[in-house]
Amino acid sequence: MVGVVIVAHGSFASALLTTAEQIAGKQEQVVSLDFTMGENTADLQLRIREAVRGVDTGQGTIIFVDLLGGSPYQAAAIVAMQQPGIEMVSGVNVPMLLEILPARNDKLMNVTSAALNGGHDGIRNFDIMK
Amino acid sequence: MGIELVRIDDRLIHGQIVMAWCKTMPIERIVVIDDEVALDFIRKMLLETVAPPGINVTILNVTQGVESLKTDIFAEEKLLLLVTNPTTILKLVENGLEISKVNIGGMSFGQGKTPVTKAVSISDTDKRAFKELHEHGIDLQIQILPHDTPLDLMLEIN
Repeated sequence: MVGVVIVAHGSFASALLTTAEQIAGKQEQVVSLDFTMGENTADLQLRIREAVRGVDTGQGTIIFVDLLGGSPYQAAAIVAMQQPGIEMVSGVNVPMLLEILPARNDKLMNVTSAALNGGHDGIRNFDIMK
Repeated sequence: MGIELVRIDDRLIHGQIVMAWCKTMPIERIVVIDDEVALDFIRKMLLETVAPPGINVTILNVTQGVESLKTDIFAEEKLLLLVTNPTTILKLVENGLEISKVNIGGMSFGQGKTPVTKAVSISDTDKRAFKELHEHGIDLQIQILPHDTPLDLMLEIN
């Protein structure tokens, strides 16, 4: 099963996981990390590396981050560049997680593209006439 | 040369810079001056990729920073000067850079550092550099985001 690490500013990561589990049920091999004001990015990198170690069973891990270019993104990018079998996706949202959390017994590449599709598909402009 | 903002932020280009400062100020180029980052290929590449669209990024070591700010190569642009610590700014000032104000955005907590506010912790070296900058008549303001009320650092560290 592909492991999942969610990293975001404030308490978004832990709240997002709680929210996703409310719909998808309790999850295994998933960790959320909250990045709070004043934390060192070197420490964050360490926490991400440890979290990946904890959720990865050899089938790879996806690190989800909130904001393209933010500190969680940069810390995760460095971890992802330094070791194989890690994908990183930014702009994490609820539909993205719901798409993949119950369907992680697949190749890392497939789970990653499912996450991207699920995340995009969940964003729509409501139009009753369509 | 138009230096719009001089900021100390050890996360350099990140969410607050991209989403807040660069949207409220007319920044055209971010100049990062740091000896460590200038040597770190991965961080350099990352910083170049995460800058807001339309804003150029230049990453220099301190010597290069002094040289390029002396010459007029960025003369036509509005700059955000970004460093990780006050000692770098002191070196720039001692080498002729004229500034009146430094924005202190983020200095993370770590070993040997004393918290000043939630987002700003300083070492003894930082403190000495701040005091010298203050003696140069430079305003030192803690201000995380553009809409935050600036806090005078010197009133917090004495």
